[in-house]
Amino acid sequence: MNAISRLICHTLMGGCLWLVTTFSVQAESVYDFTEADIRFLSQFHLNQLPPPPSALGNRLADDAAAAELGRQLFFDPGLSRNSQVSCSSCHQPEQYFTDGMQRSVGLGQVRRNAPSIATSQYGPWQFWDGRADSLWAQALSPLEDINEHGIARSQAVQYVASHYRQAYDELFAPLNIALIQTLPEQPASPRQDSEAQQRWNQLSPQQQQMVNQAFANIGKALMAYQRQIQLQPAPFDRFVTALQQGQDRQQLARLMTADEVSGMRLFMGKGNCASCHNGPLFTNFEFHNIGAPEPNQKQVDMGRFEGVTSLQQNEFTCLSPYSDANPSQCEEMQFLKRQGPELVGAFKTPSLRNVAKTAPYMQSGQLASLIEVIAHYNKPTPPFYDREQHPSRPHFDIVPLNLTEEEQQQLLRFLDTLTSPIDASDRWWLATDD
Amino acid sequence: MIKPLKFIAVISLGFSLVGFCHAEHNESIELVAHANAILLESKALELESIEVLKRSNKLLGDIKKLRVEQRKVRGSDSEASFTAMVNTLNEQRQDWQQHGRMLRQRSSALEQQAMALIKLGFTVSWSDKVHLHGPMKLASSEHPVMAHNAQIRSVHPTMLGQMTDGADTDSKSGMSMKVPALSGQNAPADLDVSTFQRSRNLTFFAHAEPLTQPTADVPLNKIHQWRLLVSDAQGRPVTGAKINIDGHMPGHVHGLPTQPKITEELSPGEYLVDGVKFQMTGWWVMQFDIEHQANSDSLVFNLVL
Repeated sequence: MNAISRLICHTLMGGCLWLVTTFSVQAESVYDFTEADIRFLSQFHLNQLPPPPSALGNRLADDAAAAELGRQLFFDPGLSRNSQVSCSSCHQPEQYFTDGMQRSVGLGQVRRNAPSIATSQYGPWQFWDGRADSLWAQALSPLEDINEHGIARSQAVQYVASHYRQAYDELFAPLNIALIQTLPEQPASPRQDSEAQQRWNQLSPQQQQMVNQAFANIGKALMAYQRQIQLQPAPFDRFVTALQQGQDRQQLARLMTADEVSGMRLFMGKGNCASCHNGPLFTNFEFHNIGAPEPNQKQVDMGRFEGVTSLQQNEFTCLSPYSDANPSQCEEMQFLKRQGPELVGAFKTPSLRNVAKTAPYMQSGQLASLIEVIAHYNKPTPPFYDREQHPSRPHFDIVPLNLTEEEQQQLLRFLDTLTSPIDASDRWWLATDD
Repeated sequence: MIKPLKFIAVISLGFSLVGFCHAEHNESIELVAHANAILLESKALELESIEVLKRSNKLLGDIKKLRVEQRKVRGSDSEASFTAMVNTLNEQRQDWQQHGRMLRQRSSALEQQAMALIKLGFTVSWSDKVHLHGPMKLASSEHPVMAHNAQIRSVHPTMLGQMTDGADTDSKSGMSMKVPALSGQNAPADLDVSTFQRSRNLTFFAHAEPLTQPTADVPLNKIHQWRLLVSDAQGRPVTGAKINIDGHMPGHVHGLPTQPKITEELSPGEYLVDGVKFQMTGWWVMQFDIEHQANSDSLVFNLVL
């Protein structure tokens, strides 16, 4: 070979060597975590999840028999006006208790996206705007909503009396069948159309009280079921366990790829996600306005601001006579924050566990895929503000991230590792035992 | 001669023994009343210093105008005397400025003395209720993560750099990962984090502490209770007051996640504050607006979690 070709050959070799060493060193250093890093990551591990908070409003919250009744009710389409809509219609276990639609459709289309309820037993507020303070109160709202189940409370009580009487009587005070038989066949409820409201008002106080109490008990059974739903460890959790055990780089690389680990570093650092999506469930359950695109500009969704008003008018809170708690024990309701500019357009931070499987995203499913979500956080648009409709300018809780395309992809890869496998033998995820 | 003296001695000893039991309480009330007097003096000094500095600044303005005149008369025969006059005025101005500064320093020294007396007075008269003497601290947890870290930033596109800078991250010692950093607070280095405070118009003095066991520290993300002890300017406990509570984080556009309330008055001047919750670490400002009979005033407690 002559000198020039030798020179070219050496340069190429040198270049290849440089590439190999640079990128292999980079790939390796991504797996280098210090003791302090591992301690920080440990707080996101699923085994750090405490037991569900004490539910003083429902004395049967952790009762196995109540959970079984709740499970049967959850999957029973008979609890609806046309006998075709069950809780599992929109909260399908195989889809991690969501339905893959932008806005769920029961009897009609509802306003919001169906949240994954696998982790909902841990936060103090239910719904995107926090308008229910417990899972049992939450369950009652879709049952009567004309776009969801559409069944009036009087009919729900009649249904349970005819199909679940024995199970109900064993758990709660026995149903007053004689009084139930005096109820009208037509729907009677203070929350539905004017005819139903009229029929409700014509009921005696004794009938109303009995129906409300039985209706609340239906919610309590459903709550007991939801508290039994558990998640399996996700690839992220296995990775953190491996770090805690001090496994070597090869073993770590088998659990999470270099891209996924880079995505994790971005999640905790530059992506700023961990400032709100923290803890074992990747949420702090707080309400924030992140400027998600407004789905209907003619009727803006005011989030927590509306939720607080609904909460005060809700007849099934911890403070109500249908709750098993003493009003002095209801801390969150007693010290409810009712005012503040940060409530306008603020929605509850959802858990990011299983997020890759619960598209579309945001309160009305405005963002179809995770990459769109990441792009929104990367270059956020401020929330829509209409002086006529909003009481004050919505506060904006996020800042632009300046992530590169590659970094966004890595973050996406990381979010995939938060998907827990579904345990096929976990009976709480199955409609029936066979 | 000796007998009456002995008699007097015995009687006075007796009285002082009896008085000893009440002396502590009375002494502590007197301490607070004394502290109040010092605070009034400190306030008077501060107002005086403001006057002096105002005068000095006005004179500075005049001197600057005269310097312009001085440049105009340069080279003429009146220059020397003119310059001498302006220099004398400048020295006068410097003296006043010095005086004003000294008054201000004296005022803050008196204030510190007074607050120390207040602390002592409260500790003595409410000795079984005061368990926290230092600043309020967060219950230990190694990596408390925050609720968000967006400071107030204008979203207007013309605000330079504010919407193009990335998020603030921190690299704590011993960590290879960056974590979200708390930003936008800029707490002053000498922030007053004392739990013994005075109200704005010196109408009330108060002490606040968390009622958590075993140590009186502040838990994160948990509803807990505080004890508020309120006395008037003379050190007497204030009963039956109406108190409103408000909290926020400077630099962040949000308040407390709950609405704390006074739920009961446990003893004269001792109020139970329930429903306090902090969802993030950082510098919090808790404001208590107190109304009692004809007086109303507000107290501010700073805490850095």
